[in-house]
Amino acid sequence: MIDLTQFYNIRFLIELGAFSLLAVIILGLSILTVYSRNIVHSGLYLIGSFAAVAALYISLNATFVGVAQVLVYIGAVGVLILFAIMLTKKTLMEEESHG
Amino acid sequence: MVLSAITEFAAQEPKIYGLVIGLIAAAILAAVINVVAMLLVWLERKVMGDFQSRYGPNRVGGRWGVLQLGADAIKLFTKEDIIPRGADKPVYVWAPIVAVATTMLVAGALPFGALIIDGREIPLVVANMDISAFYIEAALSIMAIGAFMAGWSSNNKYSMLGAFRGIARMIAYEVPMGICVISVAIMAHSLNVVEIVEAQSVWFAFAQPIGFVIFAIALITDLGRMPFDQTEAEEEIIAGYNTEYSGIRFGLLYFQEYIVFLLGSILLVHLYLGGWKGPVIPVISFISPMIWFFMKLVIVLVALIWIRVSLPRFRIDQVTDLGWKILLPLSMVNLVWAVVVGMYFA
Repeated sequence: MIDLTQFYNIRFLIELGAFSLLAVIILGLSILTVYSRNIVHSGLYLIGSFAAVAALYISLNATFVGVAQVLVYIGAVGVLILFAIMLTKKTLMEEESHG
Repeated sequence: MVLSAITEFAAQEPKIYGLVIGLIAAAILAAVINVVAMLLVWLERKVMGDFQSRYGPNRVGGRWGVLQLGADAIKLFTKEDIIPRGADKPVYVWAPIVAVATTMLVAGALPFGALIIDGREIPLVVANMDISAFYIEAALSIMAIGAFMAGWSSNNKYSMLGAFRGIARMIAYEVPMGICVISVAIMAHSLNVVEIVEAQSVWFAFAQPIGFVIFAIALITDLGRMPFDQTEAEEEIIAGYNTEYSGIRFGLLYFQEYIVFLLGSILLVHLYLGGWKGPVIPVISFISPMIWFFMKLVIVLVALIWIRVSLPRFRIDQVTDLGWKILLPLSMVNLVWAVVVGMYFA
């Protein structure tokens, strides 16, 4: 038998809390990205979800991967997506979001 | 007794102790940055006044008008907060918050000078990471999102154009700036800003003159200051991405520009001008790094204000041309130069 009580110290609880919070944020924002009717909102939710993934990496002691996630995914991919959306026609977008 | 309890807790749970200390340090840092950025607004108005042969603020708070900013802040807090009917409300409300928060990320890894205690230099930095230069570069690259949110959600063509220009400019200048940071890291054999400062027995401004000029230009562009402030060019697009904002939300966006101005100047001082390094001043030796750091910082700040009042604004196509066609190839040359010189002197 493994004695589970030895894991339940304050550090374990803090790490569990941080992980659960980040997991809920990542999943929630990803679902919002898919179901949002407005494409710019989708892009912003996606960026939020990228940021939460970066926070998850950092909480797992992978600082470099976390910062690379911020630079590559938020700074490059996220901004590129927003830039591309801005080039699309706004009226068309609104028709789609309402109809 | 409290102290001994704290040290005992620190020995038992170093991670949690570090977390608590980090949160306290971050809170102090945020307060200090806000106060210094406010003083910076005052400095800029005063220095601009001098350059333009007028007084600048000189009524509120005595001869130098130091309290002018307190008055401005109260005005911004009490003004009516208007949200346009066609605006995308949640994005509109969150934009200033995102802008300030992403800017504050940069501050976490920047050292704000150093103190000499018992003959050892102790840098004043919240998070002394191994990759802090990389982290700062990453944090600088996400600053355009706040401006984009503000410009897009306002439902105004001019705001939209401002946001559009902001992102086009950011993409064009992030690349040469990143390559300059890499060149500095190669020469210093480290990505840690503290170690980069320690490595500068010769200032990198002299070791890599091309890199210094490119970084300074890219930095001014990133800060959105005068020769490169196409995002809020008054004559063309009213006030760019913050046209529709009023009250404290406008105050936050306005203030964010000054926080970036301060942090960017500190980054320039650390990467190219030797940070807090300088001859030790006798008698007050323990704060002599601070004195050197603040002297260099004030010189850089005044030089940037000087550039702002003297140069006219470029067109947006000239700006992107300069970024992609001139600065990017030159930064590659600088990278090769850094590798060759770095290997020769290593």
